[in-house]
Amino acid sequence: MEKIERYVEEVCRRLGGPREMRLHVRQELREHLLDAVESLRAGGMSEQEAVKKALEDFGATAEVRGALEEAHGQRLTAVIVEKAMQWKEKTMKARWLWMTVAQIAIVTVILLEVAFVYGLLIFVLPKFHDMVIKGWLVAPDQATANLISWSSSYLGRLAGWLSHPCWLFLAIAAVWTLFEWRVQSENKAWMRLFSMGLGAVILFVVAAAAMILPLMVAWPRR
Amino acid sequence: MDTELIKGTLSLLILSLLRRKAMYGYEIAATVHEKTKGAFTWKEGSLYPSLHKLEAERLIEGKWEEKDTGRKRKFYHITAAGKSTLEAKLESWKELVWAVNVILENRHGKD
Repeated sequence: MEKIERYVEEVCRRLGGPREMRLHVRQELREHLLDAVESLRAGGMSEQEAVKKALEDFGATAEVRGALEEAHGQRLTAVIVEKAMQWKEKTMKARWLWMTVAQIAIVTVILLEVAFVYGLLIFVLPKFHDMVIKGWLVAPDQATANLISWSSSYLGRLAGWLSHPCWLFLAIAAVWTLFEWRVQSENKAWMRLFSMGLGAVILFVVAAAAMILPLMVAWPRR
Repeated sequence: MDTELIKGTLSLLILSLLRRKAMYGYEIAATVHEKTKGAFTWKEGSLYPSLHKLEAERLIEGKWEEKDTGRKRKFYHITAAGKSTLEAKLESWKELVWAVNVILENRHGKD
């Protein structure tokens, strides 16, 4: 019978005229539908089937609402509220779309940063070590020498952390699962976006620090 | 049957049924369905705007009555103005049926 109430609400929501009259129209439609259900059930239908058939026989909500509004007019406040609700729904859809685009963009940035760091460690780092061993990189002063030394040690540590990508991936997946499971806030999408944004910034710092290596490689020999 | 045709005749049907006795909405729909053996494939919801329009024009009068089951029903009675409108509509209807029949029979070469 909840379906009948929803139907009556849908049909009469914007109906104009005095409140008492509107209540009477609602009651009249409700009684009609209840009578129809009773009659169909007496004919052997289940309650669910009877309600469905009664509503079908009564007509599509838009059609009945239109005809009733033609007879009684529309209520201005109800129309405004409905328009506002439609606008909100549209905005919500747009927000979802933009949020998804933003998340995809950040994920792409993260993937590119990871690819850059891995590319550096796989293709450039061995050559860098080779050049250091062969003495091809000669620092012009102590500060540059310290930079080369720090760069070598930083990249070594980075290679160590990233040598077990499965564990790293599992740790991230576990944190993400916990977040999706436990966090019920209505700002969840924003929190997800913020976390990914923070991850992207951290990776950017890591990648920027690793950029020192190509600079060292490109340093002019004396 | 064409729903547009039914819409045009709905007020005539309602007034005609109510001339016999006071009825509530569902009863009117059920009576039409029963008497026409389901020939009218109209949507029952379209009955109420017509009823309310006729009530606003004071051709019929609605009155809530409580049945033994405790449920309330709005019974519609035809008014004096409704009866004279019905007579006028019946006359128009007869003229329309006659005119349409003349054309249709002519089309079939029966003139």
